[in-house]
Amino acid sequence: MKLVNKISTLAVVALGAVALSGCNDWFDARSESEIYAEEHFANQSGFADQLTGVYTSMISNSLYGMNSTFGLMEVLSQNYDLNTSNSTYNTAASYNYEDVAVKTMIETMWNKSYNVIANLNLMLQYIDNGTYFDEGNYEMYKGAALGLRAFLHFDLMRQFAPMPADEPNTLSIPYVKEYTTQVTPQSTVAENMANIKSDLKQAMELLQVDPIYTSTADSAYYVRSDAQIRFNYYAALATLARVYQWEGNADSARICAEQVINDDKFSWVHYTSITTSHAYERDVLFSPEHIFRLYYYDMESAATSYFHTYSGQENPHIFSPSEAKILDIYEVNTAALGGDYRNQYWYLYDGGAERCLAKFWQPEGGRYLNQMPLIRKSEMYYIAAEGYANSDPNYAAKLLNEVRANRGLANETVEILDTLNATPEDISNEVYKEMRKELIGEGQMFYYYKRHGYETIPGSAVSADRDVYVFDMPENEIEFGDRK
Amino acid sequence: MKMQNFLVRVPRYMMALITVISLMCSLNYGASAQSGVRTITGVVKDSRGEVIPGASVIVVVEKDQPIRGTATNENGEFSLSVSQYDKAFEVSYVGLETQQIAITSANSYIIQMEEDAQQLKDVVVTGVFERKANSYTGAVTTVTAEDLQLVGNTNVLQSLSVIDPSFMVVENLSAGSNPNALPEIQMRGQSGFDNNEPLFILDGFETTLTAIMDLDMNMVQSVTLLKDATAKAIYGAKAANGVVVVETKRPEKGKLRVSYTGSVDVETPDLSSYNLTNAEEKLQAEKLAGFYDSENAMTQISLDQTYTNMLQKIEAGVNTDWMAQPLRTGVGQKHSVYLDGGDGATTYQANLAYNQVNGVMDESFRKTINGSLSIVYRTDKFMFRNKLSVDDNRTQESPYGTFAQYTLMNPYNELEDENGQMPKMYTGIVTQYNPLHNGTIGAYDKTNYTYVTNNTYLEYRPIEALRITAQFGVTVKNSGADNFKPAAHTDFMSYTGENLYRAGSYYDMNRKDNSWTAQFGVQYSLTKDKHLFFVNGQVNANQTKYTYSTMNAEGFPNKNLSHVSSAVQYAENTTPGGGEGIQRDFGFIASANYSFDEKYLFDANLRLTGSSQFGADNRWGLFWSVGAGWNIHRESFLKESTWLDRLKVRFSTGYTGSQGFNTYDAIATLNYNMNAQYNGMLGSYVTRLANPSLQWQKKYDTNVGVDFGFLNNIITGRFDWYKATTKGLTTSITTPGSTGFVSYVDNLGESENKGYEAYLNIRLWQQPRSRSFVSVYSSLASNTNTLKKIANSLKQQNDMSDASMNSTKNVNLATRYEEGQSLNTIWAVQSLGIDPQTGKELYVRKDGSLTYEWNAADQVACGIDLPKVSGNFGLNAECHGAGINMTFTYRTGGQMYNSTLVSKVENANVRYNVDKRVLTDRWSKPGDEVRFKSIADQSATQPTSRFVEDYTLVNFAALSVYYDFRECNFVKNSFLQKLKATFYVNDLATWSSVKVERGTAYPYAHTYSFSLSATF
Repeated sequence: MKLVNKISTLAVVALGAVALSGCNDWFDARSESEIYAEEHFANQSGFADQLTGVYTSMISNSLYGMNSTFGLMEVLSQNYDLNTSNSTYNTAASYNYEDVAVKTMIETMWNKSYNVIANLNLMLQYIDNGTYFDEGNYEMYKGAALGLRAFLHFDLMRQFAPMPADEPNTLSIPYVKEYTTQVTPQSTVAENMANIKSDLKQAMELLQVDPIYTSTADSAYYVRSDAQIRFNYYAALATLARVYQWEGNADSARICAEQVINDDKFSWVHYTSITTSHAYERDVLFSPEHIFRLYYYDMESAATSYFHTYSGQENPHIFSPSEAKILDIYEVNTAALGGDYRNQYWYLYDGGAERCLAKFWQPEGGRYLNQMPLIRKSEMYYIAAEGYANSDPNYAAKLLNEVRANRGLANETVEILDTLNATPEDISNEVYKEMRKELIGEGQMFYYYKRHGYETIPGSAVSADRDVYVFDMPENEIEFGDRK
Repeated sequence: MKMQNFLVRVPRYMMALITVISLMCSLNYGASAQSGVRTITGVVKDSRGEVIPGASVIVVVEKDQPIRGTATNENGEFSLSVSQYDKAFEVSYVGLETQQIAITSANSYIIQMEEDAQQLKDVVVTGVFERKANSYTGAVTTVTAEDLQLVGNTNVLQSLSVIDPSFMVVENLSAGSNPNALPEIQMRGQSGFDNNEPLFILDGFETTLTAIMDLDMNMVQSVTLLKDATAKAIYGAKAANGVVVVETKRPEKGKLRVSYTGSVDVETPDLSSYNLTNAEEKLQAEKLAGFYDSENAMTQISLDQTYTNMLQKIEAGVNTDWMAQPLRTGVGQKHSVYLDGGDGATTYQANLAYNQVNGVMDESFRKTINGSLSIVYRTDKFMFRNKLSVDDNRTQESPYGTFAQYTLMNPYNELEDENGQMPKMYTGIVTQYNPLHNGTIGAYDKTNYTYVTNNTYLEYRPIEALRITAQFGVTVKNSGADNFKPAAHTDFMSYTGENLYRAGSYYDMNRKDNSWTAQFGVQYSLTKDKHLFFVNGQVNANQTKYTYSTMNAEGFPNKNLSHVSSAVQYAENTTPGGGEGIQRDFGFIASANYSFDEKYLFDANLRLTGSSQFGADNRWGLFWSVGAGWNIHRESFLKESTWLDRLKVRFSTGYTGSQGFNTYDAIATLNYNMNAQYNGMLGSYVTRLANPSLQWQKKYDTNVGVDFGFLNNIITGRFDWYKATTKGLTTSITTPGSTGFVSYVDNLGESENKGYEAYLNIRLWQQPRSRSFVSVYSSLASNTNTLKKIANSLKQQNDMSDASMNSTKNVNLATRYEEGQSLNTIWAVQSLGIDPQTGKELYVRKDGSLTYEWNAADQVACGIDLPKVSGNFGLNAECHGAGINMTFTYRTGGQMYNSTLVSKVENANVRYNVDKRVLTDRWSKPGDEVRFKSIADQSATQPTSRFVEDYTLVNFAALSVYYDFRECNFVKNSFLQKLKATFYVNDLATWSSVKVERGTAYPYAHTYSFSLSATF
């Protein structure tokens, strides 16, 4: 009996030991309809696909597919003369963030941004686990992920936080570095800026393997279109320029911007690509100049919904300046700058009496399709020009002239900025006008007004105080994240 | 030797044998008389000294020798001829322990039979091990096959719900008596937000509710309900909602024995809860509602004309009984053939059953075929048992659609138009499609499954005290569903123009389930003096897997093109759907039991479970229970008591778990975004915020119970009180958006269930000799649940629901959860009734002030949609083989929101058929003290305490009358061992304090069944 006892005890213990040791693998029951993170990131293609997924999410309507670009952010920039049919954007244009629909729009921007960040953090959590990468891929994936994390947090800062110079120690958004159910505590404005810079610098460090960085200016053409639709080395560098500028560190911003300019990987669009008589071949978005853009699969339908005339509607397009405003922005009557390609090719007749914004029309069959620019080469010139405004306004004027020359304003009849007697005020004025001309529809001007502390935003009578410039965090964030 | 002595009470399988062999014996009698043959006589008595007629007395012979034997006569006497070589004889009787008596030189024997210790009622079957009930401290209800069959022959679940009120089938007023509706079952109340279903164990292996519902009742040996921690803990993480252990019959040795049970089952619709208007009343209601009044004189003339025409039609006798149209008297049948037998070492069993239930809705049915084959091989120390069973099930819903459509049809609409054709639609004050039309066009809604299980059991008993067991079970289930509606279906009547080609739809589902379970166990028992030890250890592992796919197709122009492949296309904007999952568990069980002199009892159980379903941080869970008991009746000071047979007190406490979340809630998984591509590539994204620390819901049970039996067990019963706290209820947690997600699943809620159960059985009269008795019984169960803690998301949900109720004017009850309230709270605004002056409803705000405005924020707990007490009472009697059972079930102490008063009376759309009460008790002028608003007031009545009614229900759940032909000569003299006829009536009558329509989507039915069973 004792023997039997012993045997059975032994059997149980042995079975148990085998079971316990092998169990943790055994419990990882595999699903066929979903992929476990561990498996997904066991292969380098998982990281590539995850980044693809991140870009796909970024181009959703709540982010750069609309509201972070030509939607809400551009509405707040007041460049449109909105028609009355869309009440939400009309409400948003009066900075009534308490309105339920506007609030939801802002909340969705917040949630979606952090959802993308969670997706990045998940891949970052797995990237150092020893997965095999082909040469350069590790650096490319990790660099892009870190850079995007900074890019997204930076845009959230521009939306939900006060200016760093004004309130460096105010608690602002959380800088989320982990995919977890744990709520990340809020950081101060200064801490967030530091985190953003740190992620960007790390990204640049890694992205030194980026073909767009390693190629020469002459050969960049061959790798450029591939690099532009991902967060490449220069996207990180250009974002860093934006970040320094946002902090009020104009010199550092200028240095970054000039590096982008001097490396010269993004050539100016050739004027024949714009002026060609074949409308479908026109590169109206100046695609070689995009430092970072998203591939927007649904661009045509978005353009159809928001920038086109609906038959039978009186004031059809939702997003467009009026003809008068177009003429004003491009100084057509005041400075006879109507020859600007941007004036000529970005505004077209669409069945109505007035021209409307056609920048994003990318009809099927065209040569340049599905593009949503997020950072432009020209913006680097503006940053550099602002950086030189005080120290060397004449050089700043030269920089601006270079942009204008490439916009069809180089011919003799048009007055080019005086590069001998420029004043800081001239530069500041010209940068503003240039930015408005160049970045219309891209949701950037709101940040310009916020950075310069405009008391009212041109085009709006609402007094632009802190409440206008700093969105409130969503109610759920405040309540369930215990935010202050 | 008289042949007449043979009675039917010999163990059944022996009967045929004995008859034949005895015949042989008596033929040979003369020949063997010379070789030392003598006749011994004896009398067989039970423990009380009463004689036992019909006990079998069989000579113990070598394996290959013919069996010789007899049975006792009505005086308990027998005579048996034995030779000098016969060493012993065996006396057996159902329910008593078989005895072997050595043949001595004596010629006369008195045999005192003892109650069989292995009798089912005295053994607790936990599905893992069997334990003597006497020394067990758990709270269980054991139900034998006889008990189950006494209250019905529909299915195991239905019978259980009649027998034990703590096994509650949640009332489903919509599904009524739909044979294809799966009941929702709760044991000892509801503890979580969803899925309170108990765990079902069939022959030691986990199974599903469906499998138990479709189980052939004739194959069931016993059902054990495990309720408290001691009983449940061995099932660990799955046991919190209780465990139902079903054991099927095992083959018994002997010559081939065949049993047959067949029945004809008749279901008739029960529409007694409906109170719809007839044609005349309906027209009157329409008139009062103002449908025939107009300000425009021309229109008025035309309306008057219409009204007169209608009136003439009705006076001519038009009054269609729409409710009767899709209904029928459903006649179904059941047949079950069971055979078993075998010699000492090998026994076998085969079973084939057919069960067709025809519901009261035309053409709806549920058809099941079960087949099983068992083989048992047994030696002294070793046993091998294998059972293979196959179930095949087909169901069909009525093509006539849901019953609710018929209750809305206007009774003045005729079934045939002037050409004798069935109209496809009716126009008038409302356009109604004729639902009857759908029954004639070849539409169908079917499901099917085939379920194959194979269970193997090995047992090795090197010594009596030690048992080593191994079990392995495999199941495969293939199931499918098909729902076809051809273009002619009324669903597509709105399709026009270029959409016409899309008319016709098909839903197709295919599913595969498979699982395996392996268990290895050791049981050891030790008796030393008055100490009894029992130890059980088990290791088990199992895996379950499922995968299913669905598709919706459209465009079926012709009913004859009814295969899904004939579709024009996938249904607009759909793609194939489906899902799959896999779960793996691994566990250890250790149980120990100690009893001293069967007086003081201790139980302890430990279960360690690891599961792939739990988050990586918490793969393993440890569940435990301890219990103690005291058999007071075994104390010396009571041992001699003549009035006390049994008095046991029990106590147990412990903790078990239940699953409340999806497997992937705990694990980060990714998927691909198929709707958007990025430069030609598809990207991945993480699907949810995984919570790796997610755990099972933890239920802490404490149970105190008493078992008693007085006056020679004339009065027996049981009482249990319990309290169960469920911690870590899994709920969705709202997160700040900065986590990247809006919610995740976590263990945050807490609920408490308290209750008691009492069972009492009184045997008013008995006569063991003829097995006659009269007994009455009653039971009651009470349970209340309280939410102790809820997650932030539920609070937020309440606010959202309030806002949406205010804006949408929703008339349905809100699902709200608040701490301190029951999970089943009825939320409504306190009402003072209809203000006689204004005809408007007067509400009480939360602050006590009065208002005419309904506001969701003023909703308060107005009742609980659960009975405070439910139970049964009944009578059981048998006299010389003729028996009767009557069981009533009841519930009382809870409330119900009378939705009929809302939808069919006060808010009734008078364009459709309505409840008769729509015309009475309505406010019409200032001063009317009435219950309902004015008929002209078309505003929606939102949840109000005015319609919360106390709910008491008594149901004549079961009536059975049977006759066992054991005392009839034609049975005694034939090859039949048993012949029994039973007539059942289920749900004969229902009394409800709430006048509400019962059986809205499918009517309730009375069930009548005539059943015959025979064994030979």
